[in-house]
Amino acid sequence: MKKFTLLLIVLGILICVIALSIFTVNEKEIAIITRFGDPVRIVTKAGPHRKLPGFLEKVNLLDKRIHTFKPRPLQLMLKDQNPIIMTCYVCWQIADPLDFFQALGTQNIAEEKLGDMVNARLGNVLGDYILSQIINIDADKVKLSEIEKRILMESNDQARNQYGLKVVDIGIRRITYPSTNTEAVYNRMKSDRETEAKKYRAEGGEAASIIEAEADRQVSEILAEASKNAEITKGEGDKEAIKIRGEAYSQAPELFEFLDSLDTYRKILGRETTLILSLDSNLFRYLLPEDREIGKNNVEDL
Amino acid sequence: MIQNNSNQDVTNELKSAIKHTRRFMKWIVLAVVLFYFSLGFYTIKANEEGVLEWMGHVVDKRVLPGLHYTFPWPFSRIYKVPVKKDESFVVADFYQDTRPDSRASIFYNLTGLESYALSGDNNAVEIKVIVQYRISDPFNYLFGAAQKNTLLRDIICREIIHLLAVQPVDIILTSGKDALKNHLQTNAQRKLNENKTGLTIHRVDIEDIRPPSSVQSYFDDVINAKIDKEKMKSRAESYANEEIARTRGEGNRKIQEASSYRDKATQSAIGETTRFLALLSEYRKVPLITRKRLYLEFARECLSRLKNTYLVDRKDGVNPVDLHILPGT
Repeated sequence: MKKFTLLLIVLGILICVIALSIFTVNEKEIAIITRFGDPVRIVTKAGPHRKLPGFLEKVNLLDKRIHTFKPRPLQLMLKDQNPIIMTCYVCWQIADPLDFFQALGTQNIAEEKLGDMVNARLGNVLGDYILSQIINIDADKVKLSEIEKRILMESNDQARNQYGLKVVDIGIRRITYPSTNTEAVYNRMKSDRETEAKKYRAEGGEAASIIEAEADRQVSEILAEASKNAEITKGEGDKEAIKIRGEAYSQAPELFEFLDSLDTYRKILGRETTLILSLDSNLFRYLLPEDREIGKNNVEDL
Repeated sequence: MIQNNSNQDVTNELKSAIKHTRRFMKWIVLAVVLFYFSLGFYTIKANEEGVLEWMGHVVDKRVLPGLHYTFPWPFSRIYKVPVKKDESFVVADFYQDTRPDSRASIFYNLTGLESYALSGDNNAVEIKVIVQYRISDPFNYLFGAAQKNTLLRDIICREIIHLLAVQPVDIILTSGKDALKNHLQTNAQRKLNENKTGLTIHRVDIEDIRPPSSVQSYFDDVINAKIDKEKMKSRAESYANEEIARTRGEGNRKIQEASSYRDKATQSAIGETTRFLALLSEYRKVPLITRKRLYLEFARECLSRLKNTYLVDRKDGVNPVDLHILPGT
């Protein structure tokens, strides 16, 4: 009975000691074991590990996942003296746990230092580029990715040596102009659109006048053609009429002349005509005594 | 005696109580042990996947839905990740919005700047994008990247900046939207994988893309100008069609008139000559009489019509009037 109780107590103490000398590291952690503040071991493999129990060895856990943060937006000058404001995002992770642990210790300090570093690099690197290498409708001329790569490489060298950090990714996530330049961009956009609108309206006017001129040309062409055909037809009619008359009248020209003259007289002699006729005329030959001799100089019929 | 007895009774009772308790303890210990082991049962729901960790070390990256058993705490731990759940969020970092909690307002308060993205031809463009995503890799989701949602937003912003920087504004605002959407998805996905977020974008929608509001009306006017251009053209075309049709009609009428003139001319010639020929055949029979008769007919008809007809007689063989002068009509 007493033996049993003793066994239990010994077992309990043993479990406590074991529990205090075993620690686990999970997949997102790295452990640095310090003995009275002195780092003695680094554990990167996830799973259970041994250590000296209790206060003899302390486990410092670091987060080895990829962290993201944004340094402050940075205003800088391009090579062509254009001011521009850029914001980056930075992804980093611990590369050398011991360096990181000794130089920085916490994530907040790491991001502060790294942010300053990236912004300094950004300012340097962008001094080599002009605006048309940042934005351009010719995709081959845009060097944004190249800029990101350069900043990444240069920051990486320094970050690894000084802080034990690895910069995984740097991306430019915003590009803007200072307020005055933004205003200038807006104004240029406005005048560009105005020009474009004017151009369309001018094109419309031009196209319309071309269409109308073409129509007018067609109209006069159609009219000319029609007039020509009409005259030809009329001419045919005249020709035919002349031919018919010629054939008929040539059979008895003297009769035609006589009839035609009569017709002409008919037309000439209107109501208001004053006609003076001699009694000697043939017409009135029966009006006077029959023995009256007819004047010599009389026209045959009148 | 009595006291002895009673003392003995108490001792006996205590003994038996301890005996009972001891027997009972076994059951309690057994129950506690059973209860402890029963904590190892866990279920993964249909829209989840599990990641199983044994003493910090992941032993199963993909535990599928169902009932499972593992050693209870502190030996193992199970993470449940909702892999089939659609998450979505709005990226409005380049979209002016006056609400105090909008991204544009936050950025404005920080820097005093307006929110927009730049196009390749140096125009400001505002864009709002909705991203729908799921967790596709539970292991990376849990142990890859720390700030997944922040990173997702940053990556989308980066891709927007990069894609717009190479396109002219007119394409971006009109025909380029679909291409933009697709590139945004593929490029952002590549970055998400590189940074081990464990997320998969399955849809990107451009909710709105527009020029800044102070410039908007100028863009609208360009659209109106295009419409005006077409209007001018179609007005001219309808004028042309009308004029040509009208002229065709006029031309036809002229030709019709001409042919009716021709018909009339020939018909009247035929009429005239028929009459003439008829007369001629009479005339041939008795020329002189016919001629005289025609003449008298004329005189009767024509002279009677005249208002003033004077008959002049000769006196002593001399005409009183010089008949060479005839008064005009």
